[in-house]
Amino acid sequence: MKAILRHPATAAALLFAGLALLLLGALVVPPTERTMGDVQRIFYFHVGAATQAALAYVVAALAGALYLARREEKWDRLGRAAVETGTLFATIVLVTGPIWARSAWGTWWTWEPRLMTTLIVWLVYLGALVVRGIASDREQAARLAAVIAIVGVVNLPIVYKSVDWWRGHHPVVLGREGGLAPGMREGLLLAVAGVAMVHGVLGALRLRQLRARDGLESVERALDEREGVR
Amino acid sequence: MSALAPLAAIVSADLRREARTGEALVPMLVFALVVLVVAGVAFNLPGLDVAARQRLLPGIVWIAIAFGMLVGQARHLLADREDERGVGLLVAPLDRGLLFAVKWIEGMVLGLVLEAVVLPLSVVFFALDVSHSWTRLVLVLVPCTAGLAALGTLLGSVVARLGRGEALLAILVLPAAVPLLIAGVVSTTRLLEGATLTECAPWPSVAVGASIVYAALGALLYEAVLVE
Repeated sequence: MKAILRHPATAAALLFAGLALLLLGALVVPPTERTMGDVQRIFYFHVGAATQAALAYVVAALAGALYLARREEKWDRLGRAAVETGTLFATIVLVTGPIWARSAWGTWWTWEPRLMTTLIVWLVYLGALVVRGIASDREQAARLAAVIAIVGVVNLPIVYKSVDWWRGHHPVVLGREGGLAPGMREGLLLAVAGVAMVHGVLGALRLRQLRARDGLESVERALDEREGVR
Repeated sequence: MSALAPLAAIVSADLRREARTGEALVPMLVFALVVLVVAGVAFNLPGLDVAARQRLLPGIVWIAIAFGMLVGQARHLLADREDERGVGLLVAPLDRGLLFAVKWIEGMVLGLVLEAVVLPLSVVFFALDVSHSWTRLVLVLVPCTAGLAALGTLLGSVVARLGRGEALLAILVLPAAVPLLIAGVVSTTRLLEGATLTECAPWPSVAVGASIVYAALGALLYEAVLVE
């Protein structure tokens, strides 16, 4: 991860490698689905993004808890980067889902429990970003956003179980046996690995940016104090 | 017992003051009543049969309760800030978890009073018979109200720290409250159809579980919100 932070060329190479894995997993490895045809391939982007959104929100909650316990800025930076990347991937989920649904269910949007609960989690974390935007100082923003990230993660198990609890018709492919045809499972694994790689690079770059900003601000503060002394 | 004495004293003083002034209760009751009336007009209730009214009632009632509680809690926290009661509580030698419990219980009491008015009124407005299911309805209402009050207390304090009003409170509380609202709406719908609590599964358990989690998180995180 340090290497990614230091060399932009490495970051770019890893980013392209992740995208290549994703495209390989979505477009080359799996067979064409019989009923939906090529439109079904959006599923690999959708599931890949969903796994990363969930992961990012869990990381944001853990980082929030660690920040509140230790008050170290590195946990705030991690939490902030995780909420931002999580929201990016959740947005991709909410965009690709309706494209798939239009072809599979004949409608762009339906109040299906998995769709609805995903939209709600996205809104919760959007709230965390809003709070950061209007907080009066860095410390307050970090504290309050951490609280919202922890409260928001309670919704993730509900998103996961919503299909069972509310008898939804959203396909379930993770955590169940025999959900995918041969070739599709391998394609999905590659796609998820690819999106995870893209996520890792984007997260690392955002962390680098936040760390640089913090460093710059501490230099500015030091200069202001020196000016004040003179 | 001695640890709970300050809690009981503050809750009792705050609720006595609320009963005297009605600063939170009046706006929340009026707001919920307005929601019921607007919904009645918007959905053209006289033109609907019993089954349609029965399907609409849970959603409208829970919208009235959720928004009414938001209005009430925002007023309650604002009043704390305006007359510096909040500052007094902050400097008091009280555990922050206990302070959360105080505000949570107060929010819950306000919510239950709101429901005691909204439910009978909506039954009258919607011309429905709930005599066979009201005890079960109460068993669903209480945990959902407890969860909403916990979220409102914790996130209401976040909004108070930021110096913002009801709009931000709604943005933060309502999405997080959706598990409780879904549990409330689905359970109420099924109970009105004559189902038992067991037949409403897993929603009553979701309501209880979410309320416990939100209350526990509130007690744990309240100090982080309050510290300046």
